[in-house]
Amino acid sequence: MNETNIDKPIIRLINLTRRYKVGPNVVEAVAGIDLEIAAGEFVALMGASGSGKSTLLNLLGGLDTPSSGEVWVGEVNLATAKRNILDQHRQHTVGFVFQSFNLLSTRTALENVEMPMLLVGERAAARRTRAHELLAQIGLAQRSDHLPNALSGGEQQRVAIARALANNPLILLADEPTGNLDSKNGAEVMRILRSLNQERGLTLIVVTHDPAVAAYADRVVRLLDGKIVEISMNAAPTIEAVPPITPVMSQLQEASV
Amino acid sequence: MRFPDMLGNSLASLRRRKVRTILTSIGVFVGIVTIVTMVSAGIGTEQQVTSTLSGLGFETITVNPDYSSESNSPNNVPTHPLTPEIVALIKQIPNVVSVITDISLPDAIPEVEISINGTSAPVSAFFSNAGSINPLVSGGTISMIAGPNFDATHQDGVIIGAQSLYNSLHLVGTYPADTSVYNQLLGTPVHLTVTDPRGEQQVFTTTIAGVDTNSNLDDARAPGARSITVRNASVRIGANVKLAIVQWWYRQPDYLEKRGYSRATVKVDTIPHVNAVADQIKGYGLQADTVPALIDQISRVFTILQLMLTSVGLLALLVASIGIANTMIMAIYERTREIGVLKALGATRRDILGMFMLEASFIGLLGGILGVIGGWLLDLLLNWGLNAYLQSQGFYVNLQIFQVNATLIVSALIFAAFIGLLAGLYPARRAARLDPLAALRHE
Repeated sequence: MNETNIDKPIIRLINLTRRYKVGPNVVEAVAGIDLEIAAGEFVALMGASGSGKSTLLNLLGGLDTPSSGEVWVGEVNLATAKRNILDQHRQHTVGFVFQSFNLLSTRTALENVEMPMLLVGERAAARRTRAHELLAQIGLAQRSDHLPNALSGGEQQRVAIARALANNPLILLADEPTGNLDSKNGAEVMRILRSLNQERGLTLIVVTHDPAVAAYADRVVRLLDGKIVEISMNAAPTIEAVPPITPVMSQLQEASV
Repeated sequence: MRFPDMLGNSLASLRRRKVRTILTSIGVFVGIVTIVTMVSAGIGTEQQVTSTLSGLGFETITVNPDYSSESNSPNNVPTHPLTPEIVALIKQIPNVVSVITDISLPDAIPEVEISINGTSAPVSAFFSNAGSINPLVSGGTISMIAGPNFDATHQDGVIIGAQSLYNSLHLVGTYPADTSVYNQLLGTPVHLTVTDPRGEQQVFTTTIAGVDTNSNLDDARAPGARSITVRNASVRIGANVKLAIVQWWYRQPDYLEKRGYSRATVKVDTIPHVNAVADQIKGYGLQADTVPALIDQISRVFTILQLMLTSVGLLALLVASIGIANTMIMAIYERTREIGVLKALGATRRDILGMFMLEASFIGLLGGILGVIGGWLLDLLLNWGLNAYLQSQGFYVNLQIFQVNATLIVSALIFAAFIGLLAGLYPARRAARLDPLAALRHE
């Protein structure tokens, strides 16, 4: 889990296309994309709305199926995978972080973090322990019994990140994770994500239209009308691994070993 | 997702929407109350009528061997004798409780004399079969004062009428005597003397097995009643003793195998089963007599009553299930986004399906629990009301027409949960098949 094998691609997209029917018209949200993403890489997907970046993220998460082309994640081609394989993919391989947090509003922070473990059949005692650890590591141990509407936006998104990590995924998929946050909370969320990537080797794919967010990434992929128009490496990605995040994240790293 | 978690999840969802859950379950409640009350009326009525009728012997079948039509002489061997093998077969017919066999002494026997401790008297009654005595026919009831009555297993010795012990045999000095006096007589040796047409005599020695009283005889012979000189003794002779007599009379040790029993009284568990058992006995070539018209009518009335009333409840449950389906569709609409999130977190179709089906089942079960309690309370109220009304009309009875039993309770609960499950099937399937992306975009 801890080794960061940058060279080996964990994600391989081959001529990936996703077409939608909108009334009488067919819209190509993703129009023939070829892309490789290495394990442990931090990639930002940028582009205007409608450029296909969210569709691409959903295809990677197994929430959407391509019209044509291949989506290889590890040894699995999601384009042809059966439903139970896609279920396992969402349960174990990827974790989602949404712009609008999408915490379950009737459940406490702790129960939200427990949910992915509950879905894979983890026993109550084990998942409670792990959920408490995860909440402690993002600094929300005191807030574990709060319902989402009693938490600030930044806190909610941190709970969502803890939830995404519950089943130890290889890849974290984040769709505009700072879109609903002010700059201070947005920066904090990005620092957490960057630390996870750096210290745990978590492969990070973040959809954003915010250059400040993209600045944290190793590589920026720009999309326009469903096609890749530019791939640029960040020579010096933003690494604001300032306290208190670093100590927290090293704990997280230890906990996950 | 493990089942206990699914269970907890569904219960938590219902708890969050208490008012809606209870309101939806009211439909099931009404349906189950109706069905429980109706079925309990069926159970109670049937039991009351059956217990009344079984005292009258209507759940018994009288079986006689079949004699060929050409030769009507009772001395003839029957074409289909009631042999011990046939009796064993009858005992194995479902719903048969007991078979009491009996042997008639030949009409040609002029007299059987009973002699106890030197006092003799002619025997006036030959019957021994307690089960075959139909009080409606004989006009009186026989009750035992001492010793057991003859039954399927006990057919030894003689049972003597209490008044005969006083009047004819002078074994007791008073009538009626104390029960302990009669008990002391049990086991006393009895000699039965039978004379055949050639003048040969045979003495059969047995014992007093019991003392009985016959209500209509007692009325006539009660102290203070018109004094009748009664020489004859009322004696019931056990079938085993009578078998010895007929074996000697016919000089036929294999009497049972050749001629069989004279008759058998077959007891069936409940009246509705009587006809089927009788038909099966007729299949052995025997005569089986029942009170068929009455029995047919009673079973038909019960069936129609139960069908009619139960369909009212079923109609209520149909409406209730539509209510549950509606509530579940609403719930799924409201929770579409939650379903999308759960799917993104790895929930399978089966997880979602199970969660919502369980929720629907619980609404049904809740209605079922309330309905069983409600139905039971209504039963108490109706029984109380019915008896109060009857008493106001001058009938001092205690009828429990509405009765609940364990089978009814358990079936009602299972049925209620099943109704919920059925009603939840379509909504839950819809939820399970939701497109996760569309669900996540749902506001």
